[in-house]
Amino acid sequence: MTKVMVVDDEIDVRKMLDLMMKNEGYNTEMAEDGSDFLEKVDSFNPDIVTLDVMMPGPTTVEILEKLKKKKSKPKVILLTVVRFDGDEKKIFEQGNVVDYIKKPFDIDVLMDAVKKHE
Amino acid sequence: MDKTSEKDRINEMIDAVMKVARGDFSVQIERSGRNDDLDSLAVGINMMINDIEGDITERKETEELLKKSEEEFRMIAENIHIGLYYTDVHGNFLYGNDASAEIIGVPKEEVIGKNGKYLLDLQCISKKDYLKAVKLLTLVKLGKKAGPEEFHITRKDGTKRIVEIRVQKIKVNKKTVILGIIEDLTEKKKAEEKIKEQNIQLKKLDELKTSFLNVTSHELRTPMTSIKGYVQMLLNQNLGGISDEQKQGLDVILRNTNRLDSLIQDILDVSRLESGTLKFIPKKTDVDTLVGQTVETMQASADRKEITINADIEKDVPGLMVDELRIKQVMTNLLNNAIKFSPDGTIINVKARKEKNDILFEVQDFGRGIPKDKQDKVFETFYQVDSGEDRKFGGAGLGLAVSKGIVVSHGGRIWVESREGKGSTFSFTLPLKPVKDLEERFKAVDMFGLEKTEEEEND
Ligand SMILES: Nc1ncnc2c1ncn2[C@@H]1O[C@H](COP(=O)(O)OP(=O)(O)OP(=O)(O)O)[C@@H](O)[C@H]1O
Ligand SMILES: [Mg+2]
Repeated sequence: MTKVMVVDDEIDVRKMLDLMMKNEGYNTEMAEDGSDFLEKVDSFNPDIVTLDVMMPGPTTVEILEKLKKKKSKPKVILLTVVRFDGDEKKIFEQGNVVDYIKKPFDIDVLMDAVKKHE
Repeated sequence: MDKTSEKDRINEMIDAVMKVARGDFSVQIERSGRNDDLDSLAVGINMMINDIEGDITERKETEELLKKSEEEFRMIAENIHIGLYYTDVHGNFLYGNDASAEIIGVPKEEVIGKNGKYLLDLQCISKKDYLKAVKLLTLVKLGKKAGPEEFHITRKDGTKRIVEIRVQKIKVNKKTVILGIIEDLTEKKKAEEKIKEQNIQLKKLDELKTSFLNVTSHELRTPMTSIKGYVQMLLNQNLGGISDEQKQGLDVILRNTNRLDSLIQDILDVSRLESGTLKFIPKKTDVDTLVGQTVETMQASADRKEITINADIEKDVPGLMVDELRIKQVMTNLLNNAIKFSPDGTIINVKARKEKNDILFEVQDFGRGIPKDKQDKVFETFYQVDSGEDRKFGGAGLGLAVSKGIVVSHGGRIWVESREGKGSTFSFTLPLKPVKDLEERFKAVDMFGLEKTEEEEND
């Protein structure tokens, strides 16, 4: 079964995304920020990660850089409210981001993206 | 018969010559009528007196003229508002006009005869500026270009001046002197400083506005994310079955959430357009998918007015390097307008095809159309053809302005062809060869109709 990890600092959004993924039949795990995610990623070993942009703690670029050094190699879909924090070029240069989606999002657009990369 | 003796006649001549020597040219010697040698001498002396008198008045006149023109020049030098002075080749002041004294704030009498170093001793200029002056003097003596250089002056009364000095080597009465011209830049500098200050203030204000908008939009959109998400899940019956009434209610919530979201998006975009900070993330984009997905998201609002959207995408149309979300935003704006301004039950045609080096997109409606004289204006921010009526549809008049900014920054064009009461066709192009610097082009877009206003004023 495809494993999806949901990373978002907003508890309502995090739980909602988790529910959406479960509804589609994915195996899920949640993390509440970048550090939490990096801690859990290897043990859960997800196929796909939905990563919120602009969370407290490490920046998106830092998270992506550290993720590359992990055993687990998930594909990352970024979810952004304000479109990126000025580092967009560096973010995409990391090579592990496969898509980005603007919040609030259409459920179909999100699910299409997840399915495409699963 | 003349009785005058020869001795008397000679004495008379001596008297006359003496008078002439003293500057009195009124004398003339009378002849005796004897036509002797003394009479000839008298005639000679009389002629001499007249000649000398003529010479002397002429010289006096020239002298007077010279004096007058010298006075004129001195008057000009004294009264001109530019500081003038000259020094000898060692930098000793020989002359300074009133303006120069006023600028440096030291009386003329105090400076004339002293070396330039005196101004350093007075702390009128700094050591650094003094050395600068020495350098100027050295350069100009070598016949090189000297100045203009800027100097900071502290006057005797403590007030400060900023001046510009240029120097020149000239010859006066076979003597080489160094002429200096001092221009007072204090007021000019002050004005410049003020403008700089104001620009900094403006920039700060602009940054404040941008960060305010960023924060607010973040704070508004985060709650909207969960509202929109749960509404969609409810509508999809992911969380259990719902009644028709419940569905209708949720539809309204969804529609209005989207409306709020696009308004926030537009306001944010317009502010970024203004400050030239809108960012683009180009990626390989399939035209068919792009159009298909946009039409899909608009399907619900079209359905509500029983409007049919026909999409006609040319087969094998090449892909584009564009910011996909931004181009979707443009398509959504155009479709949204077409639906808004068309009556129920009509048709909307969406087309995309290759045309030379571009992909041409078209959104055609059979709605109310746009009057000829308003067709350019609709691309300006906050412009609506009928401000009372159009606002009722829910809109701020930002959609097309933002769309234009996005298209132009991608190196494309956007325009409308329309006939009142018949319908409108909005078209835009995107180049197959992507433009290098998206953001630079963006700043060049006239979003606010500023250039046009000027043109109109000239008309
Ligand atoms: N397809 C159309 N038919 C007729 N009029 C149109 C059409 N599209 C735009 N207009 C006119 O141009 C105006 C500006 O359009 P624009 O999309 O910029 O703003 P809006 O739709 O009123 O508001 P917003 O897009 O910000 O929600 C509209 O208010 C309307 O008067
Ligand atoms: Mg609009």
